[in-house]
Amino acid sequence: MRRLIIASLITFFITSEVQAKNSSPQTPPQTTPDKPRSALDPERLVEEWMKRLNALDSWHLTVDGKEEGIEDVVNSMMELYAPDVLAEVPPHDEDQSGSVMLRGSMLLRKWVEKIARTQVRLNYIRVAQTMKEFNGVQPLFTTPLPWGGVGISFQIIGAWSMREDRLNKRFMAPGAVFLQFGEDGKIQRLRLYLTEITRVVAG
Amino acid sequence: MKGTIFTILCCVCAVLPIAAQTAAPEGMALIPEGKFWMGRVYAYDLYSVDVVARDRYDDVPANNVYLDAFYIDKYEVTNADYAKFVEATHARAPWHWPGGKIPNGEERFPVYNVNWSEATDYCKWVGKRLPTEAEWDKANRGGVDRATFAWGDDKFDNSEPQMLAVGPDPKHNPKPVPAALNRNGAMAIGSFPPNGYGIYDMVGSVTEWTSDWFDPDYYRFMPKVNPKGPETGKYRSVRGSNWANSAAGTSGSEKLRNYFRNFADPEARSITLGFRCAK
Repeated sequence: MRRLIIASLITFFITSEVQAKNSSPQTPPQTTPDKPRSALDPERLVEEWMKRLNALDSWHLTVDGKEEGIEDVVNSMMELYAPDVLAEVPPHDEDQSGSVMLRGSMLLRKWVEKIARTQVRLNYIRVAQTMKEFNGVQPLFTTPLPWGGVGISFQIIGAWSMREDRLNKRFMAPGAVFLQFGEDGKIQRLRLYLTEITRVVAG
Repeated sequence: MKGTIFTILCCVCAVLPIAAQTAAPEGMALIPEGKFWMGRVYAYDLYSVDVVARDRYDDVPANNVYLDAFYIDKYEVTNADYAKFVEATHARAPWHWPGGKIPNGEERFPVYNVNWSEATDYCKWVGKRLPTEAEWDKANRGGVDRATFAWGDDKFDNSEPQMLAVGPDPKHNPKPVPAALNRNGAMAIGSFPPNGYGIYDMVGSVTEWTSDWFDPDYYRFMPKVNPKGPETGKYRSVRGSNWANSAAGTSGSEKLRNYFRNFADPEARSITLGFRCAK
């Protein structure tokens, strides 16, 4: 009798333990705590960069030859960059060869101003892709950066005309953009590659 | 007969101005007008793909630059030349001249230990000026455009501690010819064979002052016609390698390259810094 009571108690104890374990809320497996997700929205950041790039020709000369609005479009573009930005951009014309390394926003501003002053009808677009049932997707490749912020790359096609002869000097080129944004949303690194710059001949 | 004389006179009159234009002043070489590529035209060498760490990108991008014709001294200014200037103007003699006199047997050595102002004053005194960095660059290339070295793209044997010199005619014989290097100091002018423009010692004896201020970012937005350097700066541009540069190894050979740039404090007087003049 005594043995039966002990056996019953043991069985009851084990059963209640198992039940207690099963009824406790499930906890996720132990992992390192997730880093706080970046608040940066890659789509919005890229859209803003493209918009301001394409707006660089949105200024005009007054009848007495004064430049009106160029400061605004340049300032608008430069707002996106950190003061110590490092940029690698393509040569500006056929009389330059090799990539142009620009250190700091002062030099980058000169490059932006040069685009604004010499190019018109800017039309940089993101390359669209169709795959399976997905139509016209413009992929962005993003990665969180170990030091914070986000790296974004995407394919583009650029088209522009030279202000000096906007009808006859139009160019286009496929290319790629690599942007690194800091946590503050400012661009810390820019690499813009344009390949096979081709003169567009009007048909 | 009268007609023949008239024809001859016409021919002489026509030829004289051309002859006057092409005849370079004594000791100078004519560098023809035209475009040349200034800077490193090779975008993807070891440096730019980060195989070799490099903190200077002052030689890119290359720019297709137009220069008017100009003359440049075939040789660096020698001690003997500079002594005349010192005597005539009571300018300060290089500090290493014992008692203010040229060291024994070094009359035909390039003058050094002169700062930028002294070099500029000397050139003015002889009716010339310091070359701009672009002029120096074009003259150095000897007409071999877009090449790594003044003799072309040929690599050289850097297993020996020797400086390099070009063959007698680099346009037709682009092989670099090693020349023994006096590694204790500058060598007499003309120690290296001339380049394609007939100019001596651009690479080898002493590094040379140019008239430009130095800006490592200058090539990014430089003017494409007769560039004269940044408007202001802290350092002056100096060009060409010197006797103290080793030709061995990547960093050594880098200094021999056409596009290698360097800078110096305008007040500096250095045993590796001399100059030549232009006009």
